[in-house]
Amino acid sequence: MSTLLSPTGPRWVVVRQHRTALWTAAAAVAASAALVTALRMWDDAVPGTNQDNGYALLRIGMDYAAMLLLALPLLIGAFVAGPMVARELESGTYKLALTQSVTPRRWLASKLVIAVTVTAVGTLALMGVFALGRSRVANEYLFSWDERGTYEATGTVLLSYCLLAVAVGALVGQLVRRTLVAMAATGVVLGVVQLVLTALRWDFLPVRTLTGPYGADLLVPDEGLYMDSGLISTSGQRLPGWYCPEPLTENGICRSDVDIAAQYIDYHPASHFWPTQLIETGIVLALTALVLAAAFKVLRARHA
Amino acid sequence: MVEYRIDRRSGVATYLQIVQQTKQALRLGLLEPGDKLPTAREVVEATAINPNTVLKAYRELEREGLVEARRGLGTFVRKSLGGAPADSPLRGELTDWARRARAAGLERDDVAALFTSVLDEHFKGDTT
Amino acid sequence: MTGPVIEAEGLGKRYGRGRGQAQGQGRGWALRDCSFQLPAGRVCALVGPNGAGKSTLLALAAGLLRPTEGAIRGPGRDRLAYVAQDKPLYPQLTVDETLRMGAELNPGRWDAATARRIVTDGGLDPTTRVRALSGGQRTRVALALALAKRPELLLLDEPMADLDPLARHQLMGALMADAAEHGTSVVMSSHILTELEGACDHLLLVDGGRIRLGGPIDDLLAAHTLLTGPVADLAPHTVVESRTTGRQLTALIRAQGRVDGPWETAEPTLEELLLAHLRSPQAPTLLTEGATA
Repeated sequence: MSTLLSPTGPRWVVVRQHRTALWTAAAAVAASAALVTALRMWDDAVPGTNQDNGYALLRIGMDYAAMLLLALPLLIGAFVAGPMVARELESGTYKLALTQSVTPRRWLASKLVIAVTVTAVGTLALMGVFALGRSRVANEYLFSWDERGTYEATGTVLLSYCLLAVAVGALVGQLVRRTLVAMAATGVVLGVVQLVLTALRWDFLPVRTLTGPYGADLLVPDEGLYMDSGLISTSGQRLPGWYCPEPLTENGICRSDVDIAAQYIDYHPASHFWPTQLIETGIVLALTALVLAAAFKVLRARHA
Repeated sequence: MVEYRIDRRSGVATYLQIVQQTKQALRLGLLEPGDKLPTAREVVEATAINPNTVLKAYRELEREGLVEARRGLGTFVRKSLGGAPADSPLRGELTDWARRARAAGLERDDVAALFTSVLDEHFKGDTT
Repeated sequence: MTGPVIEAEGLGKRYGRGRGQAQGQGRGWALRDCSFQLPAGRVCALVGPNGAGKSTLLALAAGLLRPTEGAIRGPGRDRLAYVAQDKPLYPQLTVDETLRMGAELNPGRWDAATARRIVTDGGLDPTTRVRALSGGQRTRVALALALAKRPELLLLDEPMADLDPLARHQLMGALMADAAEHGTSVVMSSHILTELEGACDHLLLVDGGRIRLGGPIDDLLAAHTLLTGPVADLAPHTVVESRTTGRQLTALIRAQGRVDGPWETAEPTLEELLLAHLRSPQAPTLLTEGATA
């Protein structure tokens, strides 16, 4: 914390430059903690039911919280790209900063150290606030372990996206050199990365398959995440769940003697949470390292 | 202490203006042997001219034997010039003469021309 | 005499397409084929018309830009100070905080007393935010930052443009005092010659992205002769510019040997020298001894 509270050298300059933003961030975290605590207290005032106003508001609040946490990396990235990097290049203050005794490397590194420190502290605090709120609504269908928002905010993935955001901001801010354009471009890049990885994340691990006799109910076990289901023929071939070969009975349903041996269901059990988290975190951190290296390379190519 | 006034439009080289003003101060007794000349820093801070110009002027004065640089202390006057300080009898006589010339109806330029021609006659071959 | 403080060899800088500033040059070349040396301890005037390449040359010397071709050598960023033309400062910082920034970014070199003196000489309230300062006051703070760093080389891009005559004189005096006391080498650009005359003892004339003249001002003036008289052959002298009005010839030449002829001769003033070169882009480059790389 001494990085933030009593910085020296270029870090002092960074903290002083962005003092207002730092206070705003701290105030936002404190406000969110106060809000969630208040909602929980309101909810607890009427114990044992999910029908009171406090609970309803907490549910709505947590819905928004999950959405906002998904947007947190975009916010962080936009701030690093715009006010921290591109504005220096746009307004010409880099000419002042880069002709002092500190090297351009240290100049950028100081910005990143402050950004990473604030990001880590702030993100962890917000994750704590989210956990506090979620502990009451965890079993609601929107807050299961695999839900977007909940999935990110209860593991390591959100933090890794926030760190990636700092790196992308540092690179895009240098490349674009215009405050607003850089902010928008960083948001787009981070949004695309999140969308792509969200689409891919349940392919990281092989699904588990449960099979059962044809005709009976087959349900996802272990609070698992449903992925796919269907029929299996006697030759072992998977068929879609709606599949029914000719001929049908007079009532239009499958005859019991058709070539169906069993039914199956593909799912991710809750125990896949951490392995999936760690794989995704690893990918995002590797990306972060690449982008960071590129940011320093651009800096060196331009400013010796 | 002497204070230099630099006239950028005079056409006279800046270092020469310093040399001439120092000599003028020596002639008028405003500077006497043992007096310290202002440091180059003091001169350039007041006049915003190049420090090397001041050093060049001081070197010129030193070459003429008028001042000497004492390492670490500054530049000091070694001898005075002309022996005609501001309160000398010669100045008094010249003042009387100028007053009479004016009373006789001569204009400033006439007086200057007359004075210069007499100077030229008596100091022929000398250089400043 | 110590060695050169700046040394440029075949220096060139090209900006992205369509941003070319130098007329008559290849597209986009702001500076090309520049080779010169600046001896240490000089106060150098970097003059030339707008868009000639002065700012580019200073930014290259400051290490802010990378040369497209050739090289420029000078003190490292810890031993030079650079004040850009627009005097960039952080608007949200106060004057005091700006000076604190100078101290934080230049540990071991920072001279707080000098910074404080330059700022208070201008009657600046240290608690004023930079965004509330006038152009002249910003220049003062920028110069305080630059001088308090105790640089070996001070690079100033149009330093006096925003100042009233009194502040100009005062700050130029402070600059010269610093140069006198610490032997700082100074390079100042301007397109207004009178701003620099008297303060500078060295000259670099940049025009169309090239160095046209370089050397000690006294030597450059002495190398040229202003002729007036009847029209006659000027060989073997190098003619920078010649004009005839009726039977009268006026010419600026670089004398090769004695000037024999029916002319009146005089040493040109600095202004005459510069104007003659700017009017005659074909005149050959002259770098006097000590200014050649």
